[in-house]
Amino acid sequence: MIQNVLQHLGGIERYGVLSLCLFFLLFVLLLGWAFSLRKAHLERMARLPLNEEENPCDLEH
Amino acid sequence: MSQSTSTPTGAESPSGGRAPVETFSYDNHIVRAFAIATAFWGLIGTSAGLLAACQLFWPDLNLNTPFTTFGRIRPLHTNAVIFAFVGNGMFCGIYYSLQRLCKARMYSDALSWFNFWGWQAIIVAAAVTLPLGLTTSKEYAELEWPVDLAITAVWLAFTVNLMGTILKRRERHMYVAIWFYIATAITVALLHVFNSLEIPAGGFKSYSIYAGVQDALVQWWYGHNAVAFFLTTPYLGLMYYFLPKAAERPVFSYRLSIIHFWGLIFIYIWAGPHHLLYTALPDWAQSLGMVFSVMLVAPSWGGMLNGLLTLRGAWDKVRQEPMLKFMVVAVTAYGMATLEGPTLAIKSVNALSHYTDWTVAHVHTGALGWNGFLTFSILYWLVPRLYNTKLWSTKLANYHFWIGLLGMMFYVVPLYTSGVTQGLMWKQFTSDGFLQYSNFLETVIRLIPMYQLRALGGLFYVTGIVLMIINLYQTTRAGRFIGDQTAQAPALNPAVKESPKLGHRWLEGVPVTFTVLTTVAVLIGGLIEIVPMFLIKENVPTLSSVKPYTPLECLGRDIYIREGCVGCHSQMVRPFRSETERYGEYSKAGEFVYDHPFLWGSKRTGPDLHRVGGKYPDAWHYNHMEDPRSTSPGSIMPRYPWLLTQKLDTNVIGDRMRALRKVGVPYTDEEIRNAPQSIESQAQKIVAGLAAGSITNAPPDREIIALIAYLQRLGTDIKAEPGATNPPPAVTAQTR
Repeated sequence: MIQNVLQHLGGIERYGVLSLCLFFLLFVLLLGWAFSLRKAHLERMARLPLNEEENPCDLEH
Repeated sequence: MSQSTSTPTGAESPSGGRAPVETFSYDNHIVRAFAIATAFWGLIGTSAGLLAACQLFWPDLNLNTPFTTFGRIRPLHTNAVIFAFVGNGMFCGIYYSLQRLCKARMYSDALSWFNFWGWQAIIVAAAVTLPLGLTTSKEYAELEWPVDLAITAVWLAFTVNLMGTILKRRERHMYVAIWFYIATAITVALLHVFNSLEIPAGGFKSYSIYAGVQDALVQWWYGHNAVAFFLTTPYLGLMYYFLPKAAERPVFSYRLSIIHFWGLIFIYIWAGPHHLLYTALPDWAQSLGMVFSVMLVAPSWGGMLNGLLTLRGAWDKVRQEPMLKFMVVAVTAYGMATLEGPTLAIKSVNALSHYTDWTVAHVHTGALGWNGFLTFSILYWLVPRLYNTKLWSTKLANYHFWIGLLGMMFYVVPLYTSGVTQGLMWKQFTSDGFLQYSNFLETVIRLIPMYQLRALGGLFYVTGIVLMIINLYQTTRAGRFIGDQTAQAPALNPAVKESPKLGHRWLEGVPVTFTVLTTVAVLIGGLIEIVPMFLIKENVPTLSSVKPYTPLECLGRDIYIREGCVGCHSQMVRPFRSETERYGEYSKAGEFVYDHPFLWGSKRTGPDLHRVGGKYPDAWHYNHMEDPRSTSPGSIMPRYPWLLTQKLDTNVIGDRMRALRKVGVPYTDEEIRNAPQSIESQAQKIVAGLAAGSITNAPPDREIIALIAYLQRLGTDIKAEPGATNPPPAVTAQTR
């Protein structure tokens, strides 16, 4: 039955506009999400690759 | 050594609370194995590309053997570069960075080695089967079903190992590189499984379950996203890890990386149909692909700028460190390719560029610049550290950089010129309204000097890889390998839980939820595009005159697939006056309903063949396949003399027709039973046709007969019953 409904789905030409609106909405939410993060967390995360043990020979087996 | 040990000393964990400090080791053995494989396959893959490039201006290099013709070498080259070179490079970088970002050894050493040896076995299988002509013909998914199953198993092992490591991590929050690794693992699995759905028709022969337009859409959903999620997202993860390491400064904007990641994975998946503009694909799907491709510039450039701006104030280092030079060119090439891609996805630009060398130049900006240079950069940084020494020769690495850059320039600039030249020549009309270059060959011969320059570029690039291998080998000799690198970190305190109110910060600490959201983001685009294509009948108007191939034509089609003809010949006449004048009626979606797989192609090194049926006498095809230059002086097509002597294997026809019936081709039991008689009868007609063209005594049981049967059938169904149906055109015919 679901297939039958989908087979006769109308308005396919509106898919593009709907998809664009969907993306725009998600993008705005994403911006809000990114800008709600605290600076201290962002700085700590950005430094994560730099916080490793840099001199492997000191810990060599 | 993989066991963690606890020490009594407590330490402040990053997320608060005291947790015991644990001592553990990073597995460098697996990283080294993948690094060696990367360098080795890099040399093999690019050398195969160099051979293919030379074959295009020197046809004798096809060596007159089936195994070394361009049609079989090209997929060998693309598979070797994508899956062997970049694939191993990706695993190498991920296995190194993931352990350190998670402060944990890989979840399972056994899975790591299964991943390594399984992947190498798959590559060897590809290197054997593709020259043998065992191919599905679907670009970057050419490997046949047993290898597809092996890929699924190995990828699953990699994914389990990746997720297992993330779950046992000692760092609460997942760094941005890990998000890209997760997206890669999930999406590549989805793409591979859905594009490889096929029904076996023998040990190394199968038919795609999709046909025609639907197969094209699924294939380019896969093909485009193989670029996105195999060549791009894992390498972006590596960029976010190795660039800050090399520059010794944090990424420019972590906030921008969040927008980059989610924007990219959400949009990328929608853009596949831009490979099918002006084809028989419904217009709505084409428009969707174009719009999302243009939008893709935003997140891509966000990432590119984030990478380049990380080097703010560190440009003096770039001058001194060859590794950073490679990295800067890689990120710049990423920026160029991701601006060019959306430009090529604009329909009016695509009308000129598609099927020409412009596309080849575009992908090589990405492959040589982005993937190649980023891989070299990582190897130059990594190998000295794995061996606790310095790079053997900075000077040699600088030579590699300049010769590699020169190679890229010599590769892409002539091919851009070639692409635009040929695109314009195809569309050029005289003042009287006739095609100015009506002979396709005229537009090919004009490109030969550009092909020679391109090969020179390839030679430079391969030479650079040889220099790198020497340099890295000498580096390993100078140092001592650290197989298990000891490290210490406090365990995660399970009592510390973050609230979902913290938004993305919370999400960075919950890998399972993160993975689910990533999967949802990549599925939305795929579902909205693909599901309607399968379920809405009006997308593929039925043409009553279109019938399944006869048994002989079916075998001929399989030979066409085996020889890789699709690598140089499209079967899709676009609705442009310049194409309908040259080839005939434009292609309709309903003409391909029995094409498992579709053979629309993506490049016209030779002319389109969709309307070639009935265009030439049988004898012309016979002579042309034996020696293309006998019928088309100056042609760069390989010779196929073995088709005239090899006996056609008709024993397989029953299995193949039954497999095709399973995927929807309406062969009856009677047709399958009578296939041998049908083959014999049609072959005799072709032999008679050959005799009329002065080719007497041609045996009816040779492969050439089947191929001629297929070629003479191509595009003729709609001529059989003119006006029987008149489906609406996919797009308005243009007068270009």
